[in-house]
Amino acid sequence: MNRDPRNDDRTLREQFQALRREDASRVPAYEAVRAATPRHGSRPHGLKSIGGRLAWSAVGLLVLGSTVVLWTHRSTQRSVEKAIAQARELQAWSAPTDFLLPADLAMSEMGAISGASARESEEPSTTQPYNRPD
Amino acid sequence: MTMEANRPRAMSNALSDSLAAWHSDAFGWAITCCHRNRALAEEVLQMTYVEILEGRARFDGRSSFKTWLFGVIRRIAAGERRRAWLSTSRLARFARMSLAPDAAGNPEPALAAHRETSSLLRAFARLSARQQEILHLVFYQEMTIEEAAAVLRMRLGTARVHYERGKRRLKALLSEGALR
Repeated sequence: MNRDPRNDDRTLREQFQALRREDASRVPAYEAVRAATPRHGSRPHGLKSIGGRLAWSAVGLLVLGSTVVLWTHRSTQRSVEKAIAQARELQAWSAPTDFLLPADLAMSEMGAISGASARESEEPSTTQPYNRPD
Repeated sequence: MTMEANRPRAMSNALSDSLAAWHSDAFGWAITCCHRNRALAEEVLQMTYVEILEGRARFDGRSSFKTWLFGVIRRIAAGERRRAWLSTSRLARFARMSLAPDAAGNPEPALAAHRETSSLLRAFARLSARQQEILHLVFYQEMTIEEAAAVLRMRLGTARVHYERGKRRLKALLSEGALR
């Protein structure tokens, strides 16, 4: 039941060789193939087309790169301008409760003054000589 | 001066002679690379010859001429198949050519007469592209696995794996077909 693999290989080889003989009987003549122009013409393969592709890729990358750089630069410039404008706005800005500030300050100043004089009248002067109790 | 001028022509003639010597084998390989599409195989072969004779593909002597030539054919056939898939109009034409090779004016009716060969082709068509390529190179072109690996630009170990698996599968498919 077990078949010899070498026999199988031989059978395969024979079948392929039969196919080869059949193919050989229908091979177009070399001169005919050589003389015929390829349907799509001869295209420039190899270095030329690779060079062309590389050049186009480089151009594409250059355009993309410069777009990114310009965009980044413009956005940086825009953010600086924005910061300056914000600073100017802040400079001009006054709080709506600013009018309270002078009165408040005045009151607190007054309070500070009156408080100080009252303390002065109650407390003994520190400049007086100290009387030692006997 | 005359000798210098004649050198390219002499080289071209030598190349042409080498191509003529391997023409039959090259056609067999091209037809396998084009999935038995005879019209496409002829076109691929034409393009290969043009590329070689115009000096765009150069033989540097690192391998045998046949190995190198088969490598060029394989590359051009792969490019043509890819181009056919990428282009809609050509895709339609490729499909027509693939589905009805008889209608393309290049019939393969003789194969039907040879039962054994046609059963081999049917089974062969069910293998993967790599398996088809390596089995063709070994059994049809009678190359060693090392030479086949050089044509297919793959490692020897990988080539051996494809060869063994392909051979096993082909034998199984052929025996299945024989049982039916």
